[in-house]
Order: sequence, then structure tokens, then C-alpha cells
Amino acid sequence: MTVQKILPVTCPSCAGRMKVQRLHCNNCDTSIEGAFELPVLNHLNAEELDFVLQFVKTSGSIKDISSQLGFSYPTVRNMLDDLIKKITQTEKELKAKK
Amino acid sequence: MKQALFNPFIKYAGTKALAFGLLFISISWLFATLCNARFDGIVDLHFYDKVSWLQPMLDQFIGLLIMVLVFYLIALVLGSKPRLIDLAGTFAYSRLAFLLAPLLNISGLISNLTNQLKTLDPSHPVLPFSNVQLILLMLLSLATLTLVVWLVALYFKAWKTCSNLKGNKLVFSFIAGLLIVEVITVFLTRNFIA
Repeated sequence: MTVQKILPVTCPSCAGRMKVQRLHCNNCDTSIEGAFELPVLNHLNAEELDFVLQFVKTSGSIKDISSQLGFSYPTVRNMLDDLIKKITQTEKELKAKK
Repeated sequence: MKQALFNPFIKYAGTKALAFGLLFISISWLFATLCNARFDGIVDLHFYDKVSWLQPMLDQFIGLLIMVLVFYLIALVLGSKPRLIDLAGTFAYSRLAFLLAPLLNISGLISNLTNQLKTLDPSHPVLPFSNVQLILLMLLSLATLTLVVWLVALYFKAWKTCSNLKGNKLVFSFIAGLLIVEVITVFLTRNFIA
């Protein structure tokens, strides 16, 4: 049985944002080290990321997502608004670090 | 079940909620006409000796209309953009709490007790009730209070879902909105619907 590993994006010790320090190619065994920032979408949790995927798959139709999830239109609209706020905030924080 | 009673708006809003809401309003209108009840205020239910068949319906429609308009304006002022159909649908659906409320006055139960209270002589303040009547009055008061709390809780959830406001902004805008709507609807229904 394969265990699905979840990419940790916040530090379990101080709750700060994590960076990628090492990347490895399984094909040629090459490794690269550095401090790579995670893409903005990787800062979302699994539930939020799933919502983004559904949103893209339904061509951004809130009506389609609401019927798929069984939620009302304003509930889905609120989920989207909260997500937009979170992404905007993350972008700001990442820019401020640069 | 709990969600269906206290936060149905996660699933229902817009036209679907409005259809349910209109059904609830129609049923409560029927009961109100039969039991001489009026919804003269957005969280009000009063019993009279005689109520015309049209009054309870007009009360509810005026209340709903004022509520949608006032809360829509509040939302715009606070930078939220709810859809009018969601506000109308969720607020109408909230009337579920008052669906059976008029039946509290079945056979003039509350009206008779109130009329008995009116005969009270201030110089001899002895309650004109038997023990059974007193217990009945307390139970009816408790039931009414529970329904009012349920109604306000549904209105709050409706506002929360439609506006997506949070924290103090959500709470204070709801209280202010409800007070404004209550004042306007009480004024209109008691002065212009006879």
C-alpha cells in the first residue's frame, strides 16, 4: 500500500512558511540545492486546492460547482471570496519577503 | 437535520429558497387567518379578536420587501455584493420558524387569556387565572419565545451567508439592520394595513 505524502507548507515548529531546499531528479540522480519559494497555490490546504481544481474544471462556473458540491450559490461564492483573500494575502507576504 | 433547521442556507439560497419561503409564507398565512394572527413587524406575531384574510399576507410581504431592501443597502455600504435573489430567498425561507406559530392561538387560546388580563383591576391586582391557565400561559410564552429566537437565528444565518461579512461587522450590521426593518415594518403594517 502506497502512502500519499502531503507536502508540508508550514513549519511544524514555528508555523512559518516553508521553502524547498533540495530538488532531486530520480532519472539521472541530479540534486539541486537552494532556497526555492513554493508557488502560491501550494500554500493552500488540500480542501482549498481541490476547490481551485474544481473551479478550473467547471470553467469557473459557480453554478456548476454548487450543484456538484451540493452547496448554495452564495456559499460557494463565499468560499471563492475567502480563497481570493487568502491568495492575495499570501502573495503580499511572499512579495514582502523578497 | 440540525443544519436543515438552523443553517439551511449552506444548501438552499436563491430561487430554490424563495420557492420554499413562499410556500412557508402561504401556509402561515392560512393558519394566521384561521387563528386571527398578524405578523405586524419582522419578528412580531400578535393575536387579535378579528383579522381580515388579507392582513397576514400583506404583513409578511411588506416585511420581506423592506428587509431585503434595507439589508441590500447595508451590504452595499459595507462593500459586500449579495444577490437580491439570495437575500429574498433566504429571508423568505427563514419564515419557516413562524410556519406553525399562529396555531398557538387555536380556538382563541391566547386571545382569551389576553382579554382576561385586560379585565384585571389595578386596585386589586389578583391574576384572573386558574393554575391550569397560568401553566398554559407560561408554556405558550415559552413556545413563542423559542420561535422568535429561532426566527432571528435563521435571519442571522441568512445575512451571514448572503453578505459573507465576518466578526463585529457581521454582528453589528445585523443588529442595526433588524432594528431599522422592525421600526419601518411596525410603522407600515400598523398604520396602513387595516
